[in-house]
Amino acid sequence: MNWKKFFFAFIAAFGFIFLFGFLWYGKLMHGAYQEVPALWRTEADFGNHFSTLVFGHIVMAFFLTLACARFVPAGGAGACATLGILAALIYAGADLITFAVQPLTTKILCGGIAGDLIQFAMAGAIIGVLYKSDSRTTA
Amino acid sequence: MKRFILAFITAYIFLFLWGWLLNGVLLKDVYAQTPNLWRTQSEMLGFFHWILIGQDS
Repeated sequence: MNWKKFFFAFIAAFGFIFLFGFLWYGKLMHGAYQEVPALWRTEADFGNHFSTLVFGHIVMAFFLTLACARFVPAGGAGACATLGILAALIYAGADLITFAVQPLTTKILCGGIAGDLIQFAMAGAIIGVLYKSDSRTTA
Repeated sequence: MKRFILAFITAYIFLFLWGWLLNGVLLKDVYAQTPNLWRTQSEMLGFFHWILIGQDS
């Protein structure tokens, strides 16, 4: 494994996931989340847990990059995007179960699943593009 | 394909039993501390099919 390429792919994936999450969940779905305010932390309390939110994005980006590097050694946007979609579909199952046990709205459920699919497919594609040249140099 | 179906069914049963044991039994008291965050028992039963579908992933 080329750790330099891995590191760049990871940083790029993290940057994209964080930015996309902010736009999708923080802006586009803000109104949907406001329909069930009792389920969420207050703005001030949320600020106290912001480091955990950042760490969560690091975990997602790191392990998606690791999965792409490990299971798609040839790299490529398409193959890594497919892996990202599979990861998002696992998330979708968890989203459905969360919907069954928490009083979320269908708008939040559908928006969450759509967001996960787009987020992981695109993050996978970014990783695949950046990690592709690695396989050429090591093959 | 036959192996895929067998592996899927085995994984599904494991995930379902593990989910029930961890979240439904072991962590039940922890969840009970925040009742406002969860659907009621009767309401959850109405959404049970979503749990069954969700385990498919």
